[in-house]
Amino acid sequence: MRGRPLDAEGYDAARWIVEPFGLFDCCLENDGAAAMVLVPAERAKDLAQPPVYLLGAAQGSGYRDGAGVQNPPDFATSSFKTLAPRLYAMAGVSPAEVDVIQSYENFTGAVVMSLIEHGFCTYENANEVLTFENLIAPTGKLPLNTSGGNLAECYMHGLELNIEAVRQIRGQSTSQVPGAEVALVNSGPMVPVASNMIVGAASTL
Amino acid sequence: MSGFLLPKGLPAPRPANDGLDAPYWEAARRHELVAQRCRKCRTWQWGPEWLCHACLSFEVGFEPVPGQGRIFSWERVWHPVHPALKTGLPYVPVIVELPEAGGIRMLGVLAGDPEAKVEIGAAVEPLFEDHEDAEAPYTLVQWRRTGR
Repeated sequence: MRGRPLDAEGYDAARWIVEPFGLFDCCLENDGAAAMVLVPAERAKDLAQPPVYLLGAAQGSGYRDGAGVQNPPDFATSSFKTLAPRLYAMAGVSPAEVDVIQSYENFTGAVVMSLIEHGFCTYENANEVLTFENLIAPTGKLPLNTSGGNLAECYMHGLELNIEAVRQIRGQSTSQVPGAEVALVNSGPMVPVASNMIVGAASTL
Repeated sequence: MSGFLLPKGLPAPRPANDGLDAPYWEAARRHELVAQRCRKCRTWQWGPEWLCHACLSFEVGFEPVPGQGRIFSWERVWHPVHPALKTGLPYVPVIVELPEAGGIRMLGVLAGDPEAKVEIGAAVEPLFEDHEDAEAPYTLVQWRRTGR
């Protein structure tokens, strides 16, 4: 979507795809490729790029989240309620310590639920927290999907979000969050099983 | 007009090769709505599984679904996700909760004006749509408001 800025009027005027989701609530479709290289931390120190450290990762879903024909007991969830606590415990960080978030957007509604289930806001205060001013880099308190993500960069099935998290920690993003040391990524919302990851700079070890 | 809720030209549903959901499709031909229920602990479940998710018994059968359904959620489709749908937009898929069958949920298309307001909790009943001219005739279970 480079060179095609979207404002609130353009978003509202877009055609429906499936109500309640309009055209700009749905991810892009494109071809492409992406990869991540994971090596032992000792070896990473000798590579050309600044190392980024995997602090935690989790994968799974809630009880019977995969029940067929829309029958999971907990229907309106991004599937992170059981995963987020595991991720934070493994990484040893809290939501308040996350500097930048990459949240998978198959559809926009899933992002709101993902952020709530990762403790960045609540159902009650989502409208006050999830504002343009808060979500934008470099000045927002909760910079979100700084590369444009699945909606505006490319749909690499979320791998581009993982790569953007790495760029943020290296200080190489085109929408850099100043001094970002901890980045959280989540993927596969609403579809069991989901997964998430926290990466950090050497200063977080 | 096909007389059905969706245009002609969509692929016909087929019972799964493993036979697990065959009793559902056979009952639909008789205009009867059935769902899976455990013979041991009496838990309802949908879709069909080989064992009861509550007590893990393999003795699960199919029983008629009692009572009405209620609209649990809905969406209104405007984008033709299949070429045959270009002439049939919009349409309203609904998730129907069946309170008297353990709150299991089923899917279908809601009959009536697709642009009319849809209310969560509205009472619905199954609408059996017979596709007699198909190579292997089948019956789809759709939904209509009961007004009650």
